[in-house]
Order: sequence, then C-alpha cells, then structure tokens
Amino acid sequence: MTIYTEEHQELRATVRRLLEKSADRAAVRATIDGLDAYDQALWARMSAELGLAGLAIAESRGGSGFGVLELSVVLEEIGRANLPSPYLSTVLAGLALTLADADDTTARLLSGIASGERIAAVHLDTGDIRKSRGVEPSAAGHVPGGPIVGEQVLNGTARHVLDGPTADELVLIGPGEGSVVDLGGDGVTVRRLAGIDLTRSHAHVTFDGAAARPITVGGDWKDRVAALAAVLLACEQIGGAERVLEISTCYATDRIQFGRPIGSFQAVKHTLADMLIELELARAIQQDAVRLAATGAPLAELMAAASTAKVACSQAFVQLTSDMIRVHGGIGFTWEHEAHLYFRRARASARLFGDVSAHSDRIAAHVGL
Amino acid sequence: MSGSDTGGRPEEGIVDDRPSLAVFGRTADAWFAEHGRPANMSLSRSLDPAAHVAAARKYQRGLHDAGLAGITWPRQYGGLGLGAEFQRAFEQAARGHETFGDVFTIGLGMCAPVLLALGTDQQKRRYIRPMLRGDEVWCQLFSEPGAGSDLASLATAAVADGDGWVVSGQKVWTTYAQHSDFGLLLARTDASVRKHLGITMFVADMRSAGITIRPLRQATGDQEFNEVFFDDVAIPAQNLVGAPGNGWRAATLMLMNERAALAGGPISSPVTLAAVTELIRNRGRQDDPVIRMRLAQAYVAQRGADLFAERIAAQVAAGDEPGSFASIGKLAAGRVARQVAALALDVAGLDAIAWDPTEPDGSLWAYGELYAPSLSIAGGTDNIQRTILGERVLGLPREPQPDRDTPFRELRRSP
Repeated sequence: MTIYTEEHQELRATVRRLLEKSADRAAVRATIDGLDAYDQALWARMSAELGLAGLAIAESRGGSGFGVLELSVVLEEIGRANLPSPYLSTVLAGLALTLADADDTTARLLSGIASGERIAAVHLDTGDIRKSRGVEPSAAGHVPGGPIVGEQVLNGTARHVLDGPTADELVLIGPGEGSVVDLGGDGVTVRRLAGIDLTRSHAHVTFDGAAARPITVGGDWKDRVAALAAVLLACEQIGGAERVLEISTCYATDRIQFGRPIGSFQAVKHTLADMLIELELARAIQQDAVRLAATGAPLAELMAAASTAKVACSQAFVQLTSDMIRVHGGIGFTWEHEAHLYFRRARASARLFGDVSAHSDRIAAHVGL
Repeated sequence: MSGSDTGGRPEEGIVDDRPSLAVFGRTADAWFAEHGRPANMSLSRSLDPAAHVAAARKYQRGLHDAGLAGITWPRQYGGLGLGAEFQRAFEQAARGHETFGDVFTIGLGMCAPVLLALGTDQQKRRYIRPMLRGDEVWCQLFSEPGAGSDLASLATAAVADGDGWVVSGQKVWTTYAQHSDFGLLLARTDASVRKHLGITMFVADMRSAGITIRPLRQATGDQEFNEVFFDDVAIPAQNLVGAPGNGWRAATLMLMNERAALAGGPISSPVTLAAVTELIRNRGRQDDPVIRMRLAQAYVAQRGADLFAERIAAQVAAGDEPGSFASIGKLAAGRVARQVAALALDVAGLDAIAWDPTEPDGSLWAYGELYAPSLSIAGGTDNIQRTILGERVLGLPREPQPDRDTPFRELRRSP
C-alpha cells in the first residue's frame, strides 16, 4: 500500500537525478565551506525551471496546484541529499499563505514564491513581538518609509528563524493572526547564527519599528500550519535516515576486517537491521501523516498524526545517525566524512517545530491523558 | 492470502454474485456489532482453554456463514475471491474485537497460504473450506528439541513405505496441538544430502495412531504449546505437500506468512494501550510527566506497528508474498507489547505484584508482563529476525556457515 502514484515516482526520479548531479557530497561540502546558506544556481533550477517551489501553490497564483503529497516527495529527496536549501521554509510559507489566501499580500508573495523569485521563512513563536497600528504619513511620529495605515508596526525579536539569513520575506504565524514582513525593509536586522547543523541557517530577526502587512487568517490557522511544519520536516528526516542506512550498509559490505566484510558479523548486521526497523516503522507513521495532510483531514486528527510523525522520525533519524558513525568507526568521526553532517542535521531537526517532549505531551493528551 | 492469484477477478464457471465493497463493509460492521466481543481483555484462554477454543470455532463458523471468511481466497476452495480492499474493510470492522488469532492464525494465516500455493487440487478441496468454517483447527509441526533457530537441522524422519510414509521423531513448542485436527509437518526424507535439501512437508492428521501430545506448561502458567511425539506414524502419499526434498521452500513460505501474520498482533499482549490509559487515569497519574512521556512513546510504537502491519496486510491481500521485510512487523509487535506491559506494571505498582484474589485486576497486569517475553521468541527469535533483515532485505554478506555443504548425517548437532 503506497500513497504514491507513478507520476510521483517520476517526480522523485527527476529530483533525485538533479540532486545526485548538482548536489553530490562535494557540492554540498563546497556550499558549507563557502559559508553560503544554499547554492543559488541550484535553487534557481529547482524553483524556476522545475517549478518545485510552486508545486503546492494554486495555478491562479502561478503554481502547479498540487499539494502536500508532491512536496513530501521533494522533501524526502532533499533529506537524502542533506541539501542546504531554503526549500522547506519556502514551501511551508506557501502552504500557510494558501490556507489564508484572501488578499493582495498573500497573492503577491505566493506568486513570488511560485516563480522562484522570493524565498520565504515562517516564524511560529511570535509571543515576544509587539504589534501596533501604522499611522498616516502626515501624522506626528511617522518615520519616513515607516509603517503607514493598513500596516502594522513591529517591535521585538523573532529568535532562531529557520532560513532567516536567506529569506526575502518572513511570515509571522500567531494564534488567529498573521502578517508578512519584508526582511529587506527598514527597521529589520537579520543576524545570522552559528549552529550545530552546517546545512541549515538560522537568524535572530530584530524589528525596530518595522512595517508588516497583516493577513486575514482563520482561528485554527496556527495549529494547522504547525502540524504541516511537523509533517514536512518528518519527510526530510525520513529521506535523510534512508540515505544514512544506505551509506552504512554499503560501508559494512565493503569494509574488510578479520578477513570478512564487517557486515557479515552479527554485531554489525544486527545494528544495521535495527536501523532498518527504526526507519521503516517511522516511515509507516510519516506516510500516514502525509496522507492525512494531503487530504485535508480534520485538525485534531492531523495534529495527532503530525506529532506522532515528528516524534517517530526525530527519534529514528537521531538513532540512525548515531549508528552510522558507530558502523563506520574512526573514519565516520572525521570532519571529511559526511556522517557528521547527517548527525548534525538529525539533532537540529529533532528540535525544530516542537521537540520530542512537546509533541509527546500532545500525544498523551490525544490518547486520553 | 498468498495463493489468491484469482482475488478480485471473476473465475470461470462461477456466477459472479460478489458483493460491492460498501455492502460487504456494512455486512462486516453489522456482524461484529451483533456477535463481536471486546478483544483480549479477558483471560479466557488461560482460564478455560477448551471453552476458549470452542468459542473460537463458533466465531469462525459465524464469519463463514455470514460471507466474511477467506475474503481474498479463490472461490472454488471456499474463499470469496475478493480484492485486498475487502480485506481492509473487514479488518476495519474487526478492530477492537476478539478475533481468536491465537487459535486460527496458524491455520488461516500460515497453513492455508502454503496449501493454496503448493498443495494439490485435492488437498485444497479437502482442507481449505473446513478451515474457513472453523470445523478444523491446524498446528505447525516444525521445531524440535535439537532444531530451534536452526530449523533446517530437524531430525524427525519420514521413511518411504509402500505407497506412503512412516514418520518417527519429536516436535516441540507446537501451539494448540492438543486442540488441532491437522498440522503441517516438516520431516527429513534424505539424510545423505545437505540439510536444507533433504526436508519434505506433509499434512499430518493429529488423530493418527502413534502420535502422542504432551502439553508443556509455560512461564505464565498457561498450557498453549506441546511436545508432539511421532512413533511410526503412517502418512498416506496424498498428504505430501509439494515434492519430496522441497520442504524447505514450503517452510520458508510458511515462515514468511507467519511473520506477516504476527505483525498484525494476533497473539499480542492481553494488556492494551487503552487499558493502560484507563489504569493511569484511575490511579490519578495523568499529570505525571514521566508517565505521560512513556504513554506517548508506547502510542508511537503502537502506531508504527499498526501502520506497518496494514502495509504488509495490504501486500499479502494483493497476492504478494510478504517476504522477509515482514520481520519488521513481528519485531515491532513484540516491542509494543513489552513497552505497554511494563508501563502497566509500573502504574499498578504493588497491586501488580500482590493482589486480593477477589480483586483480580492485578493479575492482568502481571500476566501481560509475564507474557511479553514470548513475543520475542515465537515465530523466530528477535535475533534471528535481525539476521533475516540484514541478509535478505539489506543484502549483507552471510556469516560463514561451516555446515552449509555437509550432508546432514555428518553434521555436528545438539545431543
């Protein structure tokens, strides 16, 4: 029972071919060593040429009108390649805006994302950001270029914004309210952070009287976007875990000690079998969550499935990347080897969009506690 | 199941009166609403095994008569010839109800697929329908005192005698042999060749002269499995399944079906997640963050096992061999059972280690914990499953096998 059709498999093959060619180990390494957050030429091919950024955006907004199922295929492939890319943030912003799509602000940004011209990020933890109304340009207290009537005035800091350093726009996702900020605008400071995961970039974004355009959203918007975030990230995690098992299996087959491939020893073979078990059980859960997200399931059901997927995929990816280093021995702990890049991403991903304990608490409530 | 190559398509010479999926689903829902009873919360199988088996036969008869048995199996042998989606609709309806997997999984989930795939037309006509009706219960005569994980080293011998065969030897861990009418038996028919090549499968009539069944008492106190002794038991030629010497292929097919069946949790722990959740609430522990975390972890494990089992079941219902991949489901089911049982034991606390006989709740939690280790052994130990996954799914090189090219009679074996 697969949730994917032949067309999905073709999409997967296309993306995999592209990433194997343009984002192999050396290319990923070059991106990281160059301190670039992503490969701009590759992003242009993915978004503009192949239309991957607009997969789930309506045709009326310049996208191709597909949905979460198609995004899951691309994200799994991005996870496999461990690609430094603002794809996850951008398509998540696209989904969030599509859910709210009712005015010029959302329409304009959705078209920008679909065409590949705009990179977007989302921020779900808006508690520390103060919002006030913009004023007439003629009124006292107005700063030239500052927020005007119909806009919001932002003050405060959005911390740890994923893809903040590369994003053109930031979607602030609050309970029952949302807004879009141009990160190149006045009163916005983007401070790039150092981090454990070398393939992702984060920023603290400080607002000092910056202008934001409010968008109209439904009451359950934030919960729905948070659930989608967890599901999309789970897809990346599964792709990464799958590749980690492949690389480890390959190594255990090729590496000879005591006159035998190390994968013929039970101790190593059983470690790899355990990796397979973790991967496939997490995948069964992730596929269920993708299916529910793609079919617009009721919110409570979607949230439970998303939390379950986030916990299962986080724990699986963390475990598999530890095992990967163990199977490789010393070589797996070198800077040159890719094992630590997956290991790093696993740790970071486990904490993005809600960590294991937060999602576990939600699951406990869902089960009946 | 795996012999259902005709599933979903009309068969020649049979009027196609098969129900639509909607009608079938309603029939199944209605049947369980009227006849179903809650899954697994009773300990009926350990308290009164004979009554339990009688109830199981009645249940299966009811399913059969309502047109709900053998869903994907060929119609000429008593099946319904329906597609995998009907099997899923049935499982949906059966969810949460007692389905007597402990009694029927071996027959319907393991023996029948092998007979459908490898049996003669005569065998299929004779055995499949009575099995579907619950008239005849089956067991698996594989393991021996000297052949556990290394099943291919089995020593029970079948010697050609006139038209038929004469069998001598001993089987062990034979679940429900004492309640069974038939069993699929593995015996050695040629000791001069390598161990895997000299094995043959037979249908054994459990009431044959020369068969002695001795129940074994398990760690839980239950008597589910048995020793079965064969003393010059005559087996007629028509009971041969496949060709002589091809028994290992048949055994492998049966074991794959076993792992696929066990993935569905038919013999899982009597302690369910719902029961533990209720226990936690009754004990006022619902705000304890450690308990909340452990329950969430058990739920995630349960979802993984359930969703993986659905995937395997769909594959099997669609007519694919479940393959070695199904081992994952078997391991997952065991892991969930251990996790849930341990959590229940901790929440129940002292009441799970000593209880007033008039308030036997504690015995359920104790039983769940005592039962849990068996799930890591039955159907092939956890470590054997890991080896299978490593070699047959991941394609890792095998361990050196010193016995691989040695004729069976020259092998070193356990005393």
